[in-house]
Amino acid sequence: MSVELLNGILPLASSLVAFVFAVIVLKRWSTRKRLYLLFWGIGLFYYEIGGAMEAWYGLVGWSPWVFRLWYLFGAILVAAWLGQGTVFLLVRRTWAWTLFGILAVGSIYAVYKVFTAQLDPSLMIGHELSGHAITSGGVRILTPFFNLYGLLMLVGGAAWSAWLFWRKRVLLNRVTGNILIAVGALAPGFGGAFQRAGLPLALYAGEFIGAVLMFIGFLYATHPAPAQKPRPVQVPNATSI
Amino acid sequence: MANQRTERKAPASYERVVPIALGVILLLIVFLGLITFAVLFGFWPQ
Repeated sequence: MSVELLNGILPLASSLVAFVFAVIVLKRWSTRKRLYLLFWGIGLFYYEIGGAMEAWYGLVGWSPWVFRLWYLFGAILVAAWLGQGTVFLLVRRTWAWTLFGILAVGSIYAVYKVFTAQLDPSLMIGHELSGHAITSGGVRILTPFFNLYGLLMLVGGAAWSAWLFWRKRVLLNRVTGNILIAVGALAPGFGGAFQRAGLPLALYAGEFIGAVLMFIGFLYATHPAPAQKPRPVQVPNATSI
Repeated sequence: MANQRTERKAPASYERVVPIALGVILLLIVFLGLITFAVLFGFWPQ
């Protein structure tokens, strides 16, 4: 299969996985009304939009709108909004809303910057979408801040949750699920880093692996395995009744 | 009847794999964080 075709098919597959994942998470939110599920659902729709725009570029071709939507949702907002979901899950509500306020202001600023940026598609390297097409200043510098916040909250939060369940040796499906979510969330970050270093398809492959691992992790964490019988242990000095 | 308590013990494979996996994730977070800063300060291509 040619690299050009993979440039369309890989992100399309990521987009489909993210869409199904988002629908399942939002369906869960509609019955449980927990904010973290809402933010994860929104973040996953951003993931889906990012993948769909990459697929459009790979299969159809360049369009400024496609690029702007990809850069806004796929490169800037997705990790941070997913991470904000984890913040609502793990952090005290007042702090979570404060961080969301900062994220919301930053996101509005990002919308303005991305949609007013000057673009030159001839500057992109290889066959993938990349931020090199942006010629205006102050746009690409936004991505590390959003992504660092998303990385710390989403990956750190999943690893922390896995550790808590592990320490108590309870709900081992959540240990496994959170580890898969953490690894999955790291995958696009490494894909992006390797893409910058010149490795073709690294970003799209990282996004696909990330979407699949996070989806499996979520399913694993939310569907406990059949309960195992606890193993009785004789306590030597216990009193008899 | 003697008192019994439930022993909380994960399967043997979990006991080995989970701490390693969590350690690797921690290292990857640090590594990706360093790359992000390297991008910010121009040591890694943007």
